[in-house]
Amino acid sequence: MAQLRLKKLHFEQAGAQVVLVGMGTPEESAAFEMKFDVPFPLISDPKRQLYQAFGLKRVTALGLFSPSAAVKGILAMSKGHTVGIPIGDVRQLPGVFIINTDGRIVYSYFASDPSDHPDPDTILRALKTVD
Amino acid sequence: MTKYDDKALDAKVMLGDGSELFLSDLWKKQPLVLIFLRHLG
Repeated sequence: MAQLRLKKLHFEQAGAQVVLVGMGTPEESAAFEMKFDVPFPLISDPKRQLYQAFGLKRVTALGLFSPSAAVKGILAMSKGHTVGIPIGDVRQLPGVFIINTDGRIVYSYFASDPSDHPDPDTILRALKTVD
Repeated sequence: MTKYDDKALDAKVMLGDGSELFLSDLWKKQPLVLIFLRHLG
């Protein structure tokens, strides 16, 4: 979230609307937005309907505890990130999509594990190719 | 799985403040970057 917050102006300069999707109820989402000073609107999707509609899958139990996920977790904690009580399905994989003004998907990123995500600069580069 | 150049689903969604809108409301005027988070917290 901190990385996204730092790049908010860059997304605005790129002319894009950034919207997050989370698995919390509206109340949980509002609390999350306040606690983490979320820089973009947050869609509440507690039943994961939008996740499923966009083809985002759930990781297997084995994948949840994969060595690569563990290393990423340790690195995150070494940078001062803490782990709170999770809200939502911990096996749900995240992802990123860019939709152009015609409603067509022009970029998609399907995470390989729950900690996998493209960095904001990668998304910004993808935005430059949007018509 | 959603693929490049697929038409995006235009679902009715709810924001954290309880307001509702269609996804198309978000991409009509500018490209939309939709970031699906892992669990909150």
